[in-house]
Amino acid sequence: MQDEEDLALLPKSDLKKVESFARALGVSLSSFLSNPVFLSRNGRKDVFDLPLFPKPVTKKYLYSLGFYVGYIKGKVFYPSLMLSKRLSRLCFLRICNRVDGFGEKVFLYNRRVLEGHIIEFRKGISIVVNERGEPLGWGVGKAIYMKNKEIKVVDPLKDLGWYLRRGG
Amino acid sequence: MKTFKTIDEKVFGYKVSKEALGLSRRFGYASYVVERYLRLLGMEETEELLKVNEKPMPESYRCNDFLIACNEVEKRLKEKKFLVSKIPFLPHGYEVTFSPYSLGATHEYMMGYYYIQDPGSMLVAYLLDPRKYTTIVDMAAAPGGKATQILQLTEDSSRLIAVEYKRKRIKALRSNLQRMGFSNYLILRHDARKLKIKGADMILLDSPSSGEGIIRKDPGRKARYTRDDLKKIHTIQYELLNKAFDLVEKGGEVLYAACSTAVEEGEYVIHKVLERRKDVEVLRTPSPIGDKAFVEYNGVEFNAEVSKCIRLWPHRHWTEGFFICRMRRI
Repeated sequence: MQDEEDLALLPKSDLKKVESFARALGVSLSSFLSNPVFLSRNGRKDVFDLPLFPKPVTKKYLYSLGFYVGYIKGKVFYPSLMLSKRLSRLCFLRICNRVDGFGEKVFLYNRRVLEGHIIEFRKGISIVVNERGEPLGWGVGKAIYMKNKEIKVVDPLKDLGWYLRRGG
Repeated sequence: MKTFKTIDEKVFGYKVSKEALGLSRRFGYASYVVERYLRLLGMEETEELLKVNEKPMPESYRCNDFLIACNEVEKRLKEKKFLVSKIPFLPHGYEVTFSPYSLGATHEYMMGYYYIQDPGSMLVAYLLDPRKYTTIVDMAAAPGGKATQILQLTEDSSRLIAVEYKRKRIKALRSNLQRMGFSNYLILRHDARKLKIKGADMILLDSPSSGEGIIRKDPGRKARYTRDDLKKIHTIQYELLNKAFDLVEKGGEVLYAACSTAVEEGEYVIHKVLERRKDVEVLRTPSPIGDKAFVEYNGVEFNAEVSKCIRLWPHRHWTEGFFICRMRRI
């Protein structure tokens, strides 16, 4: 349960963690954040974005609000699936891994996508999209060695299948 | 309150006939439920209702045109060998007559392109007729069928306050709102009867109910509740509806719905609120389907305004059983 305090903007120290994620992805913070607020629970901070900062809202009873950006645990920011949807419009900035139909299936089962099913590759954290450019979640593009040969793969970090696996 | 006590006895305490006992044994219902059907519908139609309730409901979905065109969803599902047809009276509603696998396991579902929802439930949100840029409270919001529909119909422009108390259900509510791409909402984990908020233009109360209207989906509902349980449910519904009128601004609308065919959860709740409050008027419900609500039951005459509310019956309208009533605070 939240405390009686009013909802407040995300402190600068936490904003830096989100900023460092944005930098790693290759986008600016302003491309997805305007008024970031947070709710603390279970040792983490859930970060939400609101188009306008609301009138004072007490945190008591508040469970969720606005656009869910992700959460901060320790020093790390973990992006939400909604954020992958919002940022997939920016694939032209080469922030996405594009996979084919088979790759889409595999990825949504939370499994690694191999080179033969990757249409566009980007190393490091990325948004994974299907052939139509629809977002499937977050993944990491890597080069690995398999039978003495370097191949490109995309490992899932969080995929849309999570909505089903968590039973919601 | 003395009057209500006497009326309560008439509404809840009726005798069960031999005919009702026979039918309840044959179809596995609590006998008081069948007796109520007999009193409302007569023998022939009661049997018809009980037989229809034996047939499982086909699945249906609401396409999310906030994210994708409805005909595109239809096309993609057909490519996956689902048999899909449009439900004529629901702008975004489709019935699925054949599924090669679970409708909730497609990529389109995960992408939030549709919500699996029964037709009666969809109709409720259309009848609320949510307006853009208003503040709307959904007092019993989980798992989010109507909450997501309100934001869809207002193109994510209304400020939705979704209230839910149960921890498990609230997770589903949040995940459905997110999956379907909406962001103009607050979710409050609270008992809606204790809410303190201002500025609500519209309120949707899809009340917790006995679920008698969804026996086709959950046959366990035939005999899950005793008459005492039903009284408790009725009391909660009455308290919630009263609260809704405390919360909504003057001139604001409240839509009450209960997924049940019980008079105790429909007409009688509205009657009690109308008798207690002088700041409530019932509005006509411009529904494409549905029957008028009852104004008399077991010798009790309800407030005549109740006749403006509507009922959906599984055997007449091929939906879930529902009671729906639009009201305004004056």
